[in-house]
Amino acid sequence: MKPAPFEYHRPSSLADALELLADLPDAEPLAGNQSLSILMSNRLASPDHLVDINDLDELSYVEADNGSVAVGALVRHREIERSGTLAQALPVFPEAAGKIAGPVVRNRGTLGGSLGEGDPAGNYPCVAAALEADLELASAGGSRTVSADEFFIATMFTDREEDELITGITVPRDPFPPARTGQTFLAVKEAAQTWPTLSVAGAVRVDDPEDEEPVLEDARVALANAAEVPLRVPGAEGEIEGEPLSEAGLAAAGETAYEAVNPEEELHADETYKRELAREYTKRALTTAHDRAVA
Amino acid sequence: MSEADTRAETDAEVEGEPEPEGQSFTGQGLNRVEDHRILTGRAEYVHDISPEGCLEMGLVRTTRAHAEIRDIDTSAAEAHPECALVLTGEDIAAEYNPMPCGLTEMSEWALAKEKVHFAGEPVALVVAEDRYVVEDIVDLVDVRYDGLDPVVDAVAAREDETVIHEDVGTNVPDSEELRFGDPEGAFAAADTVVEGEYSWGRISGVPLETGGAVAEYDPDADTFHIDANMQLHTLVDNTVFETLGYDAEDVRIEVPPDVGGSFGTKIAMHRYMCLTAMASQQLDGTPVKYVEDRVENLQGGDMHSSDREYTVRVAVDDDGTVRGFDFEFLDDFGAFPRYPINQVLKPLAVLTNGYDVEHVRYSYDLVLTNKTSQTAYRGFGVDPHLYALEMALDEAARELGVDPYDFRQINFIPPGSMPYTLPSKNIYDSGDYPAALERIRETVEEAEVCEGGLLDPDVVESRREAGKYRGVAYTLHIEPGVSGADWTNRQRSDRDDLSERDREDVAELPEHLRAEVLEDGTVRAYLATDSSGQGHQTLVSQLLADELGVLPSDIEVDYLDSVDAPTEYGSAASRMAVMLSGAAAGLGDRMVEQFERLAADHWGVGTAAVTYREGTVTRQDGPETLSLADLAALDTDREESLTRASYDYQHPATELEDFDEALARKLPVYPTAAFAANAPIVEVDVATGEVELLKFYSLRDCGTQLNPVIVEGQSHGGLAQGIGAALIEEFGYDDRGQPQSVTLFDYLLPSTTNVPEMVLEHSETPSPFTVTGAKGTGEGGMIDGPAAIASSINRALEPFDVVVDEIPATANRLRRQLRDQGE
Amino acid sequence: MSVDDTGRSERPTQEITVTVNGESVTAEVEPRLKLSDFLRSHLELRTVRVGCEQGVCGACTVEFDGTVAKSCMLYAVQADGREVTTVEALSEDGNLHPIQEAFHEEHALQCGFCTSGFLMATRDLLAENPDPEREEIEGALADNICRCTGYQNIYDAVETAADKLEGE
Repeated sequence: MKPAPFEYHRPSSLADALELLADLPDAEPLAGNQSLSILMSNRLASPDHLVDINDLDELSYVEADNGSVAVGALVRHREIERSGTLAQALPVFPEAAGKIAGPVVRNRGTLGGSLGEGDPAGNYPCVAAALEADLELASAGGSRTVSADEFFIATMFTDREEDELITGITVPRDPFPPARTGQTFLAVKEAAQTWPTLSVAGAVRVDDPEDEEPVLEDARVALANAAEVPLRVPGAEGEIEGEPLSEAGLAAAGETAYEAVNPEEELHADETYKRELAREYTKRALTTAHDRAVA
Repeated sequence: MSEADTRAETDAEVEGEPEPEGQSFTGQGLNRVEDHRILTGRAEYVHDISPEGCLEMGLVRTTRAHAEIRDIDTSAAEAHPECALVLTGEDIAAEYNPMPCGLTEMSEWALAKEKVHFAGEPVALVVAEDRYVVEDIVDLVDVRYDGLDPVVDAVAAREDETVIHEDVGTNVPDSEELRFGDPEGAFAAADTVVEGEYSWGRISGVPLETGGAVAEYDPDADTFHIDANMQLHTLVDNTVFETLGYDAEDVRIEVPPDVGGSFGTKIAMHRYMCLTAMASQQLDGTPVKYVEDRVENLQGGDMHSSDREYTVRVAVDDDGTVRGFDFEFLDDFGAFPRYPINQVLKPLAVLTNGYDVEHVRYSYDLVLTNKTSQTAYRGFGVDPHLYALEMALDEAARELGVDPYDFRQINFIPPGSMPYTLPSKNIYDSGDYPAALERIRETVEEAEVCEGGLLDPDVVESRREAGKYRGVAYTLHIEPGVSGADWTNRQRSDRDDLSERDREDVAELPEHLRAEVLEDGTVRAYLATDSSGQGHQTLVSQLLADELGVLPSDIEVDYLDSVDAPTEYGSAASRMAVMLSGAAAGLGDRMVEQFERLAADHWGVGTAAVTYREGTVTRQDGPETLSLADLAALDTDREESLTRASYDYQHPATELEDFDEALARKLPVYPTAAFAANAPIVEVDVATGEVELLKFYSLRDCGTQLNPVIVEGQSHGGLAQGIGAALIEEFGYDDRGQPQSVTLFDYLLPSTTNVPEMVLEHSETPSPFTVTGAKGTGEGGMIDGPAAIASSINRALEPFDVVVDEIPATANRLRRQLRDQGE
Repeated sequence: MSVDDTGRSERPTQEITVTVNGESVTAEVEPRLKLSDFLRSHLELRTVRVGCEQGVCGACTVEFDGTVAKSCMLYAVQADGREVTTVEALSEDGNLHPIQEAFHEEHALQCGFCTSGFLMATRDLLAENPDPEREEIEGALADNICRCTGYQNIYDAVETAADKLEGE
């Protein structure tokens, strides 16, 4: 389990990093290295060049203003997990971060790395899909914004060009006023060290949390490891939006998720089982998010 | 390796005051002498060994499950500027022998020759300066294959549609049916027969330290020295020297004092040891090192274990009396029946678990498939047997409408029947099983079936409303200890001749222990086995300190290599507590006798006139005394050394006539029966099948505890492995024979998040068969954990009539069972 | 201290300077060399153990750049100009650090192969949280696998270590 030879570069600015990515053939950005190193050790990936972006402090930010929340690509899972800003503005992020492996992995792993890997089982891709986040991509030629919906194309395959770097994501705050919003991230995991069998990011906004039967104005459900991309399930959201939460609405949302997923079978999860999990966890996530919205 | 590092560093670790009169160190929870060197990085594991000029070896492993090798092109590899050596199966076949197999008619090449039999099987080796460049060169070896149909399903494999080993002619190279009592009569007479089918998935030890070997050939002496983290290096060293084509004394196998866990799995280390030795010989004595990486370890590291399909029938009367059992199973051994194949027979040592049942049929098929070979794992095949048995009992209890606790109590062996001879002729030494089960039930009821407890009836009810079903079952399990050696070649014996065999034909292996007094009076003992974390150095220092009346810190404990040690069984099968107790007692007596003789000789008096006590020989008629250091000095020029001694402790079963029949007939002989009464509390999420273990209560009894701290550690660790086996660990294969668990993301080892609080209580029912009353207890939790957890799940899911039919009882499998029940 | 890497002349190397356990080390290394292998083979720091090279087992856990990290998931070149601390730095003059003492006293190690990783993770936890609850210990040690102890004694050792450190 030793990687093939490569050349190592450690730029100290984003501009330098982008230049290297533009100039070097077959280069990969190196961030937390919690996934890439495994691929390289097994020689499933053998890039000729690694561009270490760990010194790019400019990608290490968590900022929230009235309009949006912006998180830099180099922010570590551990920082997201502990970010007071995110806990207040988008609590699903810290919750999702805290469910990645253990603290030692979380010390190194980064937001950008996890998004860029394009693993449909990943926590952040699922959260990004649910929140309709925009990914910021930069290259020597300029920068662009891609919605999460368009970024994830297939398993381990994204819209990122080889010379591009994910610099961060932006999430609009408008749909998630903290006082009327509940969010959650639930994961079914056999063990801390492995990927979830299935996980779900959920968010619910109600019209009036003080009301006895508040109406759900907006609901979000996205499932991880349930298809070849992080799977937003608008049909399930539609089943409960526009009315107060009901058993019937939840059941219908669950059934929609059951039908919507297209899961890969795994050693300890056949297709039917994953569908059942999608159904059950969709209901649980929406219930939890709702309960938090009205709490 | 320097001696200073290998010995027990007792000087830094003085524990306990000199013993007061009548007290002993044995039985005290002394902290371990092994710890200091490990904690500070002075321990040397085999991965740390790198002699001057050492090169590294890597293996080209096939990704095919079953294929003929058409061609291996090594030219590009050999052309690599840093390549020192490439060898293929054909190359080694020209000079060496195939490796011995578990069945005499079969053999296996260390590198595949002509065909590959499982994904991960090595086909070539490469040697170069370091592992990085080795892997570069491995990638340059080009192997071409002609594909063959993989044999994956062990049940179907029995049809022999595709035969893996044509020279053997069948995929079922061994099977046996044993009948004890009158099973047909019992089944015919019983009111009811309950039948169930149970699967046990491939699970194994997966120690944190992977396999490693460093071999050095000496061209002048034409001998080998191999450092390796092998288990049982004084017993199964033949797998190495026979393969190399040398005599035992020409192949010196040394196991470091610190091995990063084995749990049985490293008994099958011979492939790596042979290959590094061959490579070193081909390189005229350049040392060659190999360290298995984790993917190699999981996919083809020769260390998977039991993989069984059971059909169990229980003959039972309406009053709850079990009349008979019928166990029928197949065990998927993978591509080769490896050295420890006796896992299919060991369950005979606990055939009826704690139950008094006379009539039993037991039959197995040992099946070959295109999967990694099995080796031993903690429990050695007893764990699936107890699981299948207890599931069948839960099923029977339900059918009869009897509480499973009462059902077990009705059928337990009465304490007055101890020692108790099983139908399969092994003997349980001691134990009050009904009392133990009652005690654990009382404990749990007092602590948990009350307000604030996990099983507070109100809590249980409200959790049920949320779809979470809690349950606890009370089960009792026997852990057979201290295996004999003679029975272990049953499968290589003509079984028709066994009934004719006499007790005199039995050849058991004793436990060897030796010691010498050093110049400064320290006693250095030598173990003739290897250790992998069990604390044997600590135990021997306690035992021998008591025998010689000195402090444990006056005892150092070292290890013998395979040449210096006699052939003996060693540390497996929960043997060491008992065998070392006996060996230390015998050695201590012998040393005291010699010390007195030496002193008497020196003073010119008879031995009756001198007394040894607490490290000093005293002359009864005068003031003179001799310390151990004095004795060592006196001994230097003597022809017959009297400050060195060795002792071979005979296996305790050979001293007891009651075991004669089991010994003569080569039935498993395990003269100690430790036991555990378990009560894991589980909660099952019915909608998702997820199981949460809330707490694990266990009452454990391994007779006299030599060191309660070590016993407790063994219990904890065994139970954690039992928890992993019960719920998450598994080596899966797809239907093309591709391994699905090749990383630790797939083969899931329990972490802090999987292992709940354990509440253990220890009772001590001494064994009447052993010197100290100790019973073997190295395998307990792994043996009794899975069955106990499965039984608690059954209790939780009683409303849905689910009985766990597959281990590990993963969430998707429980969901399948619940779904089948319409849930 | 300087480590020379001879015999690999055909493989490109890079010079790095790392502060390891307080001492500055300069070495020529291949860029692909894992930090774990660098610490073990080049610097002979044996407490760094390699159990999986997949970032799961945690046996190779060290302090890197101020936080605990799995050294099998880092390349030695990444440590250039940074600080690395291993268990070797814990015990002074052969005396055990309070965390090491606690592991010994509570029998929190058996085969010992995972122990260094647990010591480093425990050190990190207690530096931040001197009196952790059981549940906090569970979370803090979730990146380390022990195959021998069943974790019970490790919990006790962490608590004992916390007491010892508090008393210091």
